[in-house]
Amino acid sequence: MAGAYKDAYRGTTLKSTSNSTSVTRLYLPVDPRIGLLRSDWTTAVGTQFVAMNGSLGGMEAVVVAQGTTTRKGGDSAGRTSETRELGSGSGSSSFYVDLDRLLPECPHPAEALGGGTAIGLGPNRRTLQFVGNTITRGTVVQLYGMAVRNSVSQNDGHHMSDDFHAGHGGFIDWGECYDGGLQPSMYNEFEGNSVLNSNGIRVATGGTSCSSRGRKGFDVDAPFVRGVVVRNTTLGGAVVPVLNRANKNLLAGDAASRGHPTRSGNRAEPSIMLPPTCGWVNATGATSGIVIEHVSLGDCPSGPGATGVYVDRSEVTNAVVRP
Amino acid sequence: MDTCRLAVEECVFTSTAPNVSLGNGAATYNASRPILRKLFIGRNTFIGELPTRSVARHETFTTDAGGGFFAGFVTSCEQVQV
Repeated sequence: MAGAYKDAYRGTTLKSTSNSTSVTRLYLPVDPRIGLLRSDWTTAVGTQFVAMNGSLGGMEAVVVAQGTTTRKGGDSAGRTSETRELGSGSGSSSFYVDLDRLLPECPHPAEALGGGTAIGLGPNRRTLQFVGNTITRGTVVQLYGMAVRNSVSQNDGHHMSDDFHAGHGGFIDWGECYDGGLQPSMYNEFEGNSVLNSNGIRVATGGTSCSSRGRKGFDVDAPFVRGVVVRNTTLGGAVVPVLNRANKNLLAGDAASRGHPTRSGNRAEPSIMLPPTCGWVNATGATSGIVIEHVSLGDCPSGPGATGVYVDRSEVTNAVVRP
Repeated sequence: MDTCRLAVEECVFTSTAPNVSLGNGAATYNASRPILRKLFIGRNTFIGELPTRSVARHETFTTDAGGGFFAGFVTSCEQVQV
């Protein structure tokens, strides 16, 4: 991991709100080397601060925006958007954010945000409980981009794939450098899900560095997915992946012929039919601290595809697998 | 600062539904707005490819272009009180 972050943090002040909740103020530079976005993610979902160090460590808190600039926009399809920019407006060399609490695991953030720590602002997507739902004939339920401390449990998924999204069906936990910023996935749980005639549960990273996603100079080569538990999963039925050029995260090549997914980012020729499989619980890309336990295989087609679990050991570190 | 919870339970979302969003809260959290601490999506039924919604990151429960489901987008507690 690059060590350019030691000056990102200039100090803290503790500030009390009306109900005496402690707020930690962080002063941050506007620096493209840091995965900070002052805008885009300060909208409906709120904003979340994350700090990642090492291969497993991470801290996060909700940003309490004090002073914003609103920008309205849209696209050619007539869709409108509204974003707000943190701080005192464009052009400033630094700005600050207030966090809703002291960063957990570290009572003095100045020590934690030293060199070697990647920090970022992203959408406030956390503490979601997606529990006991039934999903059928759809494509995918995914934690996409920033996702922290969420639980996806006791859901029933049926036929969650089609020829457009082959390889994308089922449940996915993404973490990546996305839309210009650092959006890791940390400490999410998939417990007791049944995924039939779908592609299973996938823990994936969309890239291995921010540089590869257009953030030049921001070369965080760290696991974007960390601390994920996938437990008590039931797979069954048959999945017939049909590769499609619209899908950039595919089963492809030699690995697919063995029933294994490749690392993300690969592309394949369209309309390649693969042998039916039972689906997988799999982890690929820059991920760390993955626990996969107790994958049950139901009525699966015979053959090498019915393996149930696949972990790309070349990219996944600190993985524990107990099929 | 205030906090709140949001729950969506026992709903049916289909491909013909006009949308799957509970609201497009354009609220930045600040000291005068609540922070959504818990979002519970439980015991719902999602059938078929859900309709594409507008700019994804500004929506609540939103779908991607292929009809998938981004779990975890939340809205302002001003718009949905539980």
